[in-house]
Amino acid sequence: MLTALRTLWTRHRWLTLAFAAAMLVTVAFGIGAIRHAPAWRAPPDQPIAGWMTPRYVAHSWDLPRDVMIDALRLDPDARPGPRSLDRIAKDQGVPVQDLVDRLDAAIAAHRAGRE
Amino acid sequence: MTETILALVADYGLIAVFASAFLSCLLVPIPTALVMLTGGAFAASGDLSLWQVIAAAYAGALLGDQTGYRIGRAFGPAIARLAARRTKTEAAYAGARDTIDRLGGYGVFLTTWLFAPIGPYANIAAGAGGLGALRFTLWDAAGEAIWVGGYSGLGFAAAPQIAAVGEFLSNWAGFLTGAGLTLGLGYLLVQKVRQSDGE
Repeated sequence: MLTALRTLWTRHRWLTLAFAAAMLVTVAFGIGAIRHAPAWRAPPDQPIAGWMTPRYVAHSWDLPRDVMIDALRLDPDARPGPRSLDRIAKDQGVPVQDLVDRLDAAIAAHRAGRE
Repeated sequence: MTETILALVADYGLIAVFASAFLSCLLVPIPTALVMLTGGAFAASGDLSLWQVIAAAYAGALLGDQTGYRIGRAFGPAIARLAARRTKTEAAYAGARDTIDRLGGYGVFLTTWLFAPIGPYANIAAGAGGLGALRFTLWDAAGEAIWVGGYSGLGFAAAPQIAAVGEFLSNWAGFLTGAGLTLGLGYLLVQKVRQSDGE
């Protein structure tokens, strides 16, 4: 065993190092995968973020369309293409956090109203 | 960085999905798996249509892979000349070409989806190593169908949880690729030891 290791180290140093590096990378990703697995099984509500579209928020948080439109102060008759909350905030001239706060409040109110 | 790219999917839709798939096949570090999850999720919420997301990602991936393959092909002769300067490297190069000729199709297939993080390198290697264009194209198209359909479909099905799913899957993909590499290198090492023992 030891002789084999010594042979490897003297004759195939780069291959041995590559093998050890690949093993370390595998272990690191394995730990990462295990760490993130529970979040998938019992998903917490992911926070509302600027990349989401209004429809995505409505779909994910089970929010009726008019409640979502109301919270974002959008024109109910306009049917624009998909837009991110980031861009809507820019168009309205407010920080995106304002939109997130309004949506959070609307979701909380909607859920409270249903119970 | 990731959030900015996802916002591009929201604002530019299919163009962003196509561009991301194309560029990530050419070693540009874009989280295309997450982009496809997001495209699928936006399809579930009614912003995009699922078949269009899949078509855009598939077209981008195939074009990107073909480009990588062509780049490899263009540099193949130069690599051969470099390798021919020393007997040892010439033998190694001949061995690599032989392996690509025997197993290259499966390699291209597996590195499009199962070992996706090393896919771009595999395309270039396949081109440089002289894998036939038809064989490359067919195996590549089959593998990318799994990659694109899998991630887009998963995004569609798990729309509200894509952030968590994406985080897990990127680690999982890294784990699988690392495990594949470790096994391959381990196999090589065992062979080397056997050869040494035989001497």
